[in-house]
Amino acid sequence: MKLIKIAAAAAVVAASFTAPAFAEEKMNDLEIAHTAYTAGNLDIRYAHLALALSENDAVREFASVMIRDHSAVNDEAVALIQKLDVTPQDNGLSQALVKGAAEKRAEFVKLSGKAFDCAYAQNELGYHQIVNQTVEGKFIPWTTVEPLTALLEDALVTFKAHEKHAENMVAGLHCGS
Amino acid sequence: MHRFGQICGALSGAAFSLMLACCAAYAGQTHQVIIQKFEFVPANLTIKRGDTVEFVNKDIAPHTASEESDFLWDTGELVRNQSARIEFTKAGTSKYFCVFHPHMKAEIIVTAN
Repeated sequence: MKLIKIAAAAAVVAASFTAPAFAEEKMNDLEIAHTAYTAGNLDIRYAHLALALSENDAVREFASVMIRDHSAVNDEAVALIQKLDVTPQDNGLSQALVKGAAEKRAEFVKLSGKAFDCAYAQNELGYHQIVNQTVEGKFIPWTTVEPLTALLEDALVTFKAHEKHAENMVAGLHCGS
Repeated sequence: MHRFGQICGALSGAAFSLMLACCAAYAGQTHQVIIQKFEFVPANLTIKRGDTVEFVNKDIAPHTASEESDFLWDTGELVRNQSARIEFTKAGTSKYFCVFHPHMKAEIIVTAN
């Protein structure tokens, strides 16, 4: 039953990320680097919002982990970009993610208490599910620069741990009850 | 008499060496636990009292190795490729986890040497 609730919540949230046609067309290395970095930064912004608005220990702990881990991944990305001496390329998917996240944050700031905690937690679960599917199924196969592929593979391990953590957070919040 | 003295001298020398060997402090070995893909490897490690464990983080994400019951020992935050050494001076089982990712758990069994 718990799994069904999680799956249902994730499906609802995931639907909001499919609207901008998540990575339907093949992207190049520089576009992928830009989008991966952007997605990480957006999750950090969600986390800061959670730390500002939530009083729930589990939510605050999760948000702190998101800031710490995504900052570490993005620091590695910046180091790689500097080493390769390239400039990531803005693209339609990055722009759609930024726009979608701004809309989500505008919704979230109107919430408080359990309503905020559940909205944040479910969004995190859906966000990581979609990002992980995209990184694993599209970005990693599409990349042609070995260090970028390796970075995405390492990052995916982290993001999958986040997805599992988000699942547990959603289950612990009992949002359906 | 001279030969008897030599034998006694050799025996007392051997006894002294044995005594030194028996009572010298255990130097202790250093073991490694690698933190990779959100796991402690090996997850179960048996060492002797006086040994040291070096925890090495190979993940991008920062981790810790922290004693579970009351933070009796703690590496603190380890960023990628950073390591920390903990010496185990008491026998017993030490369960530990990562404070940032609490599902990461492992244990070290310290035997009396």
